[in-house]
Amino acid sequence: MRLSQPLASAIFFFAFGALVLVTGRSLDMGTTAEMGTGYVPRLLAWGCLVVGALLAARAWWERRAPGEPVAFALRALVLVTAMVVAFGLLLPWLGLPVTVALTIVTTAVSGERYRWTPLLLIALGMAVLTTLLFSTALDLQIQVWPKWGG
Amino acid sequence: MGEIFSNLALGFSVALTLQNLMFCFIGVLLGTLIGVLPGIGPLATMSMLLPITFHLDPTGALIMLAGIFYGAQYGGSTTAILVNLPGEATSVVTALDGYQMARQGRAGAALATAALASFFAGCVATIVIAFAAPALSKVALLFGPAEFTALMVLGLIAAVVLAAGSVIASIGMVMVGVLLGLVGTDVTTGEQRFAFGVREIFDSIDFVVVAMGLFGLAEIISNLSERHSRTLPSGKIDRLWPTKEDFRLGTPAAVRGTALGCTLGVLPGGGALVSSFASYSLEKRLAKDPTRFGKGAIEGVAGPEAANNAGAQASFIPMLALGIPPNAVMALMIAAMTIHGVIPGPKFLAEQSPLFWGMVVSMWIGNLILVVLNLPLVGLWVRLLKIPYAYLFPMIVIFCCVGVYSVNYRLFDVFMMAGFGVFGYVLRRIGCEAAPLVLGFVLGPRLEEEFRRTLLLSDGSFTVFLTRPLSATLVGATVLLLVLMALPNFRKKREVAFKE
Repeated sequence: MRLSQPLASAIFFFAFGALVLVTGRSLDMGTTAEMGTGYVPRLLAWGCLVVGALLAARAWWERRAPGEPVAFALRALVLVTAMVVAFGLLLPWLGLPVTVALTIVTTAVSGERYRWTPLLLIALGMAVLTTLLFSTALDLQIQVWPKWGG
Repeated sequence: MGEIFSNLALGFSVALTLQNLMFCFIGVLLGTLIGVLPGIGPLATMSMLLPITFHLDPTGALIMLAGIFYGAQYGGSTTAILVNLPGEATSVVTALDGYQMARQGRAGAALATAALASFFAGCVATIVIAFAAPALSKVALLFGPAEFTALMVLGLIAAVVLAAGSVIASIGMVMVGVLLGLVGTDVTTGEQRFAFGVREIFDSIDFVVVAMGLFGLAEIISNLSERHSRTLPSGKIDRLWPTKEDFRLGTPAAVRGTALGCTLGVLPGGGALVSSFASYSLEKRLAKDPTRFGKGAIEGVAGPEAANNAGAQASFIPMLALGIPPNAVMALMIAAMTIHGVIPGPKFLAEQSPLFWGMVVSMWIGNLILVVLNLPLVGLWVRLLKIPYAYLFPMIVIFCCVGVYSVNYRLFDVFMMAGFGVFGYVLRRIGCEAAPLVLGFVLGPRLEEEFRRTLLLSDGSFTVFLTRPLSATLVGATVLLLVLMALPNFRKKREVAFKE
């Protein structure tokens, strides 16, 4: 069975509401006049469950014409996420310019059409530009040079 | 009246310092530069550029942010006209007739009309803000916790109803947003909630991380996965100035659009989006020959462009005077102001009048810079549009990474942004909008605080929302909106309005 949008969003709201209820179960409920830390979160979590139920009902109602099935572009998702994570992992070791250049070069696997010369130029340009903008112009405490042997 | 002039003079003295003029200019330029890139709307642009403004003084930062906002808005219109790729819903309307004009070789006239109409709307809206914001903030002094709670709920519901997408799912997204906003230290008791021992979110989840992930990264992922064919209108853009006939038809449309925008922008849930849609359908209805619309009618560009700029600026009024953002862009502005220690609301106008009036005047200056900057630079924007996405997206990703890291110097924020990027993309795919979430996220803590205070004062009785006349009116309006949404007839009309 393919997942329709209303059904997928219903599942999301159920899961989110349940997660809040479970992880927030130790929070103090209080009374309506003197609400504890758990009062409003529980109220909203139940709200999420209601929204989930309504969306599930709609999915059932529209089951004959489910519309566009939910699909993910995994390649783009993984690529962009990997770039950001790589940036975070490399920065403390390699410093800003090298990290920027390396991260940009990895986009060569994006599947988009590209040529090496401009890509390398962009990598170099961005490395210089971000360093100048953030480290020199805005004077932020960002590590610039690689940490050798660290 | 005299007070207004002395206030505006104060504003000019703040906005016209060399430093603030420069910030305004940089903001407009950067905003347009990023906003022009296809598929990147004002929300994404503003979230990406937020970190740059953090290290400036509050006045400069807010002036620059406002500049970024207009720039992004105008940049979006440029993209809509030239390549029919509206960055955000606000430019969808502009694309309808603007792109057709471009295909007829009148791209220059369309761009100039958009710029001039926006400038006109900006001038009027600035004056409206100067009058309305102080007046509204006086009304706000009558507000108690019950009124603020009711107003916030109305604003959130209205924002959902007046935006595209499924209403039920969007209301759900607001609640998810409020819940995410509650993560961290509880304002009232100082206790930790949903922090799971992660020290970086003990305070609360950083707004920049959420905005950059949900709007910046998620937008890039969506753009990467959908292959757009970008066809630039062939031929050079030589003739910029609109013809006499264009002026004759366009001017009244721009005036009507401005009036619509100034009115709709102030309402909860209002702003640029609703205003431009409303203006387009108004112009179509008023036109002698409605069939011209969708085929390059100048009114279809002048009206909505004036309306969206007026609406965008008018939505500053409730944000500044009440501290309540009517839409997601203003939520971003509020979050940015809060980071600088500036809390918008009735007190803000009274206590920080140089900052307030400086901002108002700089809005007008920003609009002026937009016109002066954009007409000569059209050629540059066209060239920018030709850059293939394969080269563009790594630059944007890197910019987000460095930007989010520079806010707190925490690698944790970079990873969390990646998480919110994935979250935002998944939300998009399952048909949930991220904008209501961000609105809820920003309003969440305050909403909870006012709600708790209301019921503390009323000793736990919910009738307090109905016995106070102001709050009862607001609750009534909310209920009315929800009832309207439940009516099949109204729902169909709303769907048609967004499809058009």
